Amino acid sequence: MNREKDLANYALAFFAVASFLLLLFPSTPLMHSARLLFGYSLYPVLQGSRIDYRLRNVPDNIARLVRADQENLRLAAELAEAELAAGRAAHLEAENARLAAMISLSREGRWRGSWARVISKSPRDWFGTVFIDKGSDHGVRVHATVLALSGGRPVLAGRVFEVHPGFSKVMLVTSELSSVVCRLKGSGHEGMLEGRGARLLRLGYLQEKAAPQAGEEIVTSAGGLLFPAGIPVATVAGPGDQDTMMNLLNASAEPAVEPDSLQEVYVVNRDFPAEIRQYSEEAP
Amino acid sequence: MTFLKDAAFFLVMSAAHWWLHWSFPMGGLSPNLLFAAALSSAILGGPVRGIAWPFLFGLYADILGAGLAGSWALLYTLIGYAVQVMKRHFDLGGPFSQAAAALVLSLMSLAAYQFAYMAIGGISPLPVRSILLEPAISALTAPLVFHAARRACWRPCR
Repeated sequence: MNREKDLANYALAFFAVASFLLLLFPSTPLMHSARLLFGYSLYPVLQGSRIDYRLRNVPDNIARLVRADQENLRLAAELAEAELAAGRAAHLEAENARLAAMISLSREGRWRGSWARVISKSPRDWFGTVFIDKGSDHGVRVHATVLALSGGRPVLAGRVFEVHPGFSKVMLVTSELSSVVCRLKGSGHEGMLEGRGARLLRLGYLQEKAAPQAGEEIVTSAGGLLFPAGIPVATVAGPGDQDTMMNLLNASAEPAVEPDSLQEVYVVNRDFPAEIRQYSEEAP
Repeated sequence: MTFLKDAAFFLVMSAAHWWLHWSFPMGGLSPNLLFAAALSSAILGGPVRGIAWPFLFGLYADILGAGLAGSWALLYTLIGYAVQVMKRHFDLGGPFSQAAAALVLSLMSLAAYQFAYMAIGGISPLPVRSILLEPAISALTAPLVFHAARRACWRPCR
């Protein structure tokens, strides 16, 4: 026991002296620098008054090194923030431009309606339907015309075919079930624009003399009843084939609306005459 | 072999302390593993090892800290010695006695550190909340570290 006691006393004396030596002698800049750099390599975070405290006895060149690294860390964090903010600003700018175009459409007063956001799409019916966040509670009715903006002008996106209190289902012009009576804007010949469940549409029932030209615009026709006349729907993608049985022409058409980038739509309720309303409500 | 185990324990605890303080600073209240490791090695070690390893843990704390170089080394050396003295009178093998010893010694070491700084007219880098709460956290941590150290080193309490 006494031996252990002695050993403990000797050890205490030895290490206490070593500690005192550390306390008294190595207050040189070299020692402070080594200590700072070792500690800083493990904890490279110095904030506020701590940095001044730690750098108080360190030579200028080492202090500058540490301060430069601190500044570098701070600037890297700021750069990351700025990049994030820039991305957000670009997104907001694009949204601002889109919304500004929408507001101009609302102000035109050509149609009375309300804006709605596309809230859902069905992967099984990608080109067929979308859901919007307005329903019967917001005054949306079945067969309401659904417009979208493309190139800053309103184009036909489809029509409402199911209305629920808080949301509605819109049948797009690209849907297999969609057909719109249209006319070629240049020649004025009418035809039936049908969706095919894909991006391109089919313009059928054209007379031989219609001779659709690629790029020619197709707009809604007054004869269609469901939609206001004169709304751009598509452009002719290319000359079509001839229906030999009926002596009529077909053409493929590119929709004016991009079904995969729809975000907001303008829903226009139409006041049909009672007879037509009754007829159209019976329609599928 | 014993030295290698001790050295491995030192490295593991130093790395764990660094990792804990770096990853989970918790406002300066993360457990002081260096103190717990110094206490554990003092309890497990003999008269020389039980003072030498606390000294080295203190030295590591000095290098990491911004205070007086050698101050923690001196305080941890004194803690090692105090544990050697306490071992003659108390059984420090149980968790309760370890927690009590950690509480008292942590409080005393922090007070001594603070006092040393006040004596030389400087401002202690320790935040007040650390001084108030660290002893309690150390009291909770010390038995766990001791258990881990004993299992790792396969050494009975001397």
